[in-house]
Amino acid sequence: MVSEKLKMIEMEVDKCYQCGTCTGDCPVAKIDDSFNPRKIVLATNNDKIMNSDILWKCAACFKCYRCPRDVKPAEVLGELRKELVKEGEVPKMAEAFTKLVRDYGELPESKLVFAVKGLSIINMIPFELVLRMFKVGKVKFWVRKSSSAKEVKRIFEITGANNGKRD
Amino acid sequence: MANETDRRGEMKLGKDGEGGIEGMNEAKKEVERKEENRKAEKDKGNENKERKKPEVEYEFSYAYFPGCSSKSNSVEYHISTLKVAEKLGIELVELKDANCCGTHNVEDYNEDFWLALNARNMVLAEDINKDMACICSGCFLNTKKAKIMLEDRQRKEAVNKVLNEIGKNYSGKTVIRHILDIIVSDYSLSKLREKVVNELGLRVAPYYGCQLLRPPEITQFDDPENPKAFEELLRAVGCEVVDYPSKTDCCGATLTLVDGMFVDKMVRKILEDVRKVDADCISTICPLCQYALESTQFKVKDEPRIPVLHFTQIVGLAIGISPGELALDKNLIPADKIVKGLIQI
Repeated sequence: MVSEKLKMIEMEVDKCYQCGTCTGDCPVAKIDDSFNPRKIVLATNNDKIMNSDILWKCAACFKCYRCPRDVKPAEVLGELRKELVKEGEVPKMAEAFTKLVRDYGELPESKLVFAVKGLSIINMIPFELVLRMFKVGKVKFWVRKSSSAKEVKRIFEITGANNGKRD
Repeated sequence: MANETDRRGEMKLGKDGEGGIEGMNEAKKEVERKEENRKAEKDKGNENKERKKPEVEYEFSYAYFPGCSSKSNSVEYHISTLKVAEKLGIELVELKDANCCGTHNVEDYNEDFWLALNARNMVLAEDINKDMACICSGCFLNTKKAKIMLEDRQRKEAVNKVLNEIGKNYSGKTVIRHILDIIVSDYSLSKLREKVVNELGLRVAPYYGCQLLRPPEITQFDDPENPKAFEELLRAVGCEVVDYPSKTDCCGATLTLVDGMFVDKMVRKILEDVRKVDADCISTICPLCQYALESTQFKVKDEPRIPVLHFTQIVGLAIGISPGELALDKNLIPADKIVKGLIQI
């Protein structure tokens, strides 16, 4: 089943003449060759959606805005991610982020780190950095909810249902 | 190519080579809109403001949206912004009740939720009849993108159906601004120059990052290929600005939790470029960029570490605010050397 929106994207990706400007400008593609905006656009044009893990590697830096055909690859990727979420392919990061916002109104950064990385975060952050962050009061063990939390939760309840998504 | 000229606007340098930025179409329009807002506000008498501070009438007043990051990991950005605004006479009325902008994570997970979140923040600004001042490039882009999407009548109706449930209604009149643009375009650099009392003697590498500049059809800020606003501001407060190729590159902060390797490599490239031009410090306009540029230096072994200051901290030092008030002690990389170099004019 292809949504209306995805049909619109297909019209967009059809304009692509595969020059690769997007990929040349993409900072992620420079590091990781599994992420190639040009190929993602091509695949979409051939009615294939790339794997979710790859699509979520986009940094949303919009360096690909220089597209001479105005395909807006970053926007295309965004729509593809939305489509995959609807099909149930939900990355941990987006899910944890959304649920924390739903519960707290604001994003408690430290909680997001733990929700996504778990205890493996200990290996990710140098001890000296943790120490320094602790010293300047940036390590928080508990977070207060924002005064917006109640309204935000209500908004989520309504929109969540509209999107037909599981919670 | 009408669009091209539109979004780039025109950049004009003063004869002395350090004039402000003028003629940015969007900025002009926003100033006009602001003027109208201000008039409307005066007519209404703005009771709240008058009751609180009857003796001060602010020429510049905004609905201030610091965002989540500026309230936690980059709290010194929030603190220094408030101090600078106070000293310059810019009123920032904080949206105490604001929610997260959601970023592309929430947008892609649940677009309706994301739209309603941003509409809700804009309603808070509508309620006090002020333009919104963002200090985070992420909040700036997300709110502005949502605003553009909500120009669609169907979407607006749908979002209002949601907001009506919490007793709110979105009209779409809020203008979304970034604090850098506010100081450069509204407050003006000529006025800022008059406020400078300390000679910094710093070589500063301005780092724009992504989401204030791109995608240009949404951000409508400066020239995305060759922005000048930040440089002009730094020169106005007496800094020597160094140019380097990666100033509009991505720091990768959004990918921190996807794969930390991206941030490490992207930041390393930026740091390499900054070292080549021998800058004393990097200055940022986004809390996430600042955190990424600072924290990654704890992973790379290169010494000495380069301090990364929020641009409001540099402006603050120049206009005579103490390092303590600017929360410079909260930066992860100490900026002692920079502070020691201050010379009172």
